[in-house]
Amino acid sequence: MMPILETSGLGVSYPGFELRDIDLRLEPGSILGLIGPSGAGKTTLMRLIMGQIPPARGSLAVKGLVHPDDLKEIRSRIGYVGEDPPFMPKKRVMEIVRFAAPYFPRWDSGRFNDLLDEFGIEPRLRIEHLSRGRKSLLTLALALSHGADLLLLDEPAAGLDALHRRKVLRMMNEFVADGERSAVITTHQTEGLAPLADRLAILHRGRLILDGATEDLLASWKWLRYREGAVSPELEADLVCRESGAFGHRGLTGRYPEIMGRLEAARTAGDVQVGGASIDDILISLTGGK
Amino acid sequence: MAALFRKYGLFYLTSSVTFFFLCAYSLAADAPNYPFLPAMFFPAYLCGAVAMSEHETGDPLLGILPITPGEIMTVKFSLALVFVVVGWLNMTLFTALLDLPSGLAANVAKMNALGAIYTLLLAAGLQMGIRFFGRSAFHKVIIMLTVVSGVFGIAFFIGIAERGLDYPGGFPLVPALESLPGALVGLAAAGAAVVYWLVLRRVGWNGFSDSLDRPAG
Repeated sequence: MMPILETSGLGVSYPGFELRDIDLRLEPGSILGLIGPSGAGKTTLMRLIMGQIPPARGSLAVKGLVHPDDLKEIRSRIGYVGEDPPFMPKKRVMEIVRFAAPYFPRWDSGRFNDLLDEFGIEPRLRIEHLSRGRKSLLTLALALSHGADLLLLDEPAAGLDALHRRKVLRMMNEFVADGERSAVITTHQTEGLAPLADRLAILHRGRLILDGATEDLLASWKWLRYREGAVSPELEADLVCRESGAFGHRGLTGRYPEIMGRLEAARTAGDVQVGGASIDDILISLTGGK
Repeated sequence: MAALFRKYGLFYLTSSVTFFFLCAYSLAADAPNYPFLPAMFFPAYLCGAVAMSEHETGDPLLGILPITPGEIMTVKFSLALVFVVVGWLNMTLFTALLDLPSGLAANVAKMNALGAIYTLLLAAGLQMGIRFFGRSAFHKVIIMLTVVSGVFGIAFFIGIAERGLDYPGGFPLVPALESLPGALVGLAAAGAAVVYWLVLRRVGWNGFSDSLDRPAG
């Protein structure tokens, strides 16, 4: 099956920053959670995919359409919600739609109006009179109304209350539910990401340091709580985020399926306890939590 | 493309009309070297606008629509072309209506044509320059060009004003300054500034931004 998004060796350079060797393949029906510390290059990668920045290296294709030859068609197939709402403050909502809609061959006015109703956005309002959250929702309404195949959400929850945040995540799920479309979401709020994204990728200092199925990652990464001497020195040295606590010591491993057999006896004796790791735990351990 | 033409049409229309009004006024003041004004200011202003990429200067909405930077440039350049041609026709007709002496009329027609060609070449040159030298470097060139033309124009204006009406060749705005219509020129300039400000608000021509030169998180 043709991937919705495929990048190979993608990269771009700025003074003091380089995004490099980004290899991604996103299958239809998939949601990719792209996480990383601030300045890791998440937004840069999103803008590269959207064609807002020309790549310096590598290749990029959206549903078989190759950048930059098919840039226009690529953009018509991407629904993009960036960090900053892309509207001039004096414009009215209906003016923006009137301008934007003719550029999308598959524009669905009914869908757009329904979304405005759902988000409580009055079409006659000027952008400057909308809250930051409402502006993000308006961007989302545009992104969901033109028949996109790929949804890019860059920090979509910024400025949203809990109710609307949940609504946005639900809409992402609905977007990919037909199994023919995909979505990429970047967020600092990793809570709630695991049930949403079936794939996770971690960017750090411009490089993709981890990319895999969310389920596999969460199965591989575990907290080990252990008493002194309960695990071998070799295994202990491999743990990250090590610290001492009431139980004894604890540390995070990313190779749990490999080592679980070796821990069985100690677990049975009650000298080792195993607990699940959160996405934040994995992120912190891989980006500087040694 | 039609929406883009509508979007930029007002900007080009107002700036072109303003500049050509000044040209027409200076011609009516019987100043034979009137093409100096469009030759110095209008091309730098219009071509600078043509050359700047929308991603760095304009409506961020365009960044999420299926519009390529090339299409935006094409629209801007096409509008520049249209208004240069319209301006040239206007000035030529105006010259004919004034019934200038034949030698002067020929000179004016020649300057008209040269001004139009100069404007178009500058527009094309700036656009190609962006392609070859990059946007950041080219912004500096555009700013420098604008500053140099502005400083040169002001210096020329002050120099002529000090020398008075007897300066050989004269300067189109000097007679206007020494008479009531001079105030009209000032009003026109102020009006141009107001129109430009309104256009900024309306179509979102919101100045320079270096957002593309910064890494994003």
